[in-house]
Amino acid sequence: MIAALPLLASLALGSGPPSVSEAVKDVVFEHVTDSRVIEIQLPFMHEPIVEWHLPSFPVTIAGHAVDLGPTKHVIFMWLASLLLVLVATLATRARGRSLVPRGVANLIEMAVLFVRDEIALKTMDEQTANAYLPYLLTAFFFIVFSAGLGLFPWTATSVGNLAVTGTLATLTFVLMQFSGVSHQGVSYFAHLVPAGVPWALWPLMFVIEILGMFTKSFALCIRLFANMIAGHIVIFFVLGLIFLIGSPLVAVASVPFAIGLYLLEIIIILIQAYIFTMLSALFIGMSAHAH
Amino acid sequence: MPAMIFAADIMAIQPGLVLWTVVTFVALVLLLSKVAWKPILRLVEERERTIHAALEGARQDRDEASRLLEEQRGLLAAARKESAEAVKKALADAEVARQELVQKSRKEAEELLARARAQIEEDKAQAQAQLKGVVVDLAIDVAAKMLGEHLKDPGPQRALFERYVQDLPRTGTRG
Repeated sequence: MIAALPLLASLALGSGPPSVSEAVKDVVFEHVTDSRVIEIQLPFMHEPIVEWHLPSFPVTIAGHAVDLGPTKHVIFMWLASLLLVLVATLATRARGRSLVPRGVANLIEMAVLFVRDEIALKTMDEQTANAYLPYLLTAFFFIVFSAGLGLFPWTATSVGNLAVTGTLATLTFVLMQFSGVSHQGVSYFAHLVPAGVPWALWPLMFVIEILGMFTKSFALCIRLFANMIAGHIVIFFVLGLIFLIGSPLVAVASVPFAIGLYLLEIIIILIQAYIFTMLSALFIGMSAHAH
Repeated sequence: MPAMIFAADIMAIQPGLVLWTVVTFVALVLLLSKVAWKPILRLVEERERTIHAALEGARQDRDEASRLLEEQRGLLAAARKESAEAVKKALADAEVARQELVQKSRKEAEELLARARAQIEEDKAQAQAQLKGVVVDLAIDVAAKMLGEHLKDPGPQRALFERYVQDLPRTGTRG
């Protein structure tokens, strides 16, 4: 948000109405899309003070050209992961062997207990919950940290990228299948259709249930992506209104509104992390038991 | 339209990013589960066990305490009853002992009295016997004096006097 101000400010000095609207769109989408450049801009400066062009690293995997060079979202994903590891390690170290948590340890432990008691244990039996807890906890904290990091100036929200949310949803999908097969064996596929369905409807239901497995994961991916990106787009457009309408008076309304949305975004991050983890746990737990 | 291009960019999925996400996320799961989740969950479970044990211990202690209190109350009541009984018994014993003592002393006193009476009777009889002797002697003396010392041999007269004295009225000599 703060990072966008210089860009938007520079627009105000610029050209006429048609190109202003184009420029606002450019700024907004540039903020939310992945890129090979990391820029740091300061207010009232036309050129970025840091412009880091990330290296390209093309490889061929199974006949497809894949660029493994890190992008902006990869860098911020790593940064968020590093932060998460640091905080989690410090939280564990800080308390040592003491049974009484303090400070950061308390906060982290509260979240860990929330995921364990309110998500995992509500959707699965204890043994299954313990097996999938590391995944669920990591998913929850990964989403909170990478989306949380995206709220700071000059950063990017890596979890607001379809490739990232798609990968997370795919991992949940894989765990759903793994949980189904490991708990029920091959009969997992036979039990996909709920008991009590007439035989005549069985083929249709089977297809629907198979499709359902994919739509569940697809919905996971889209929901997280859309929620993570929507707030950023709306905040930028609300600020962009100042330039689209062309009057500084708009700022009186749009800046407080943007700040409100920014605070709302904090809640949305926590809610979406909860929803993603909750639904993942629910789907994995559902696969573990025949319905 | 650049906006359309950007919109398309938003929806684009870069295989490189997918790969990096998989690598990063799987590494995170492995690393965090080792350095954070497992230790935290272990401590949490340990704490839950500790709290559970403490609560259980407190409950047991409380039960034990109330059981002991009940026991103490029972013992106290028994002790009280016992001591009351002991006092009662002691009082009864003392009463019996007193009665016995009184009986005994009364008996002794009576015996003493009886003995004293017997003694007095005996002494009196003895005194009367002596007195009779003395009276006889005196009478003989008096008679001898009156008869002018002629009664040299008081032998046969003595028996006569003794018979007289014997016949003297006994009234007034008692006591």
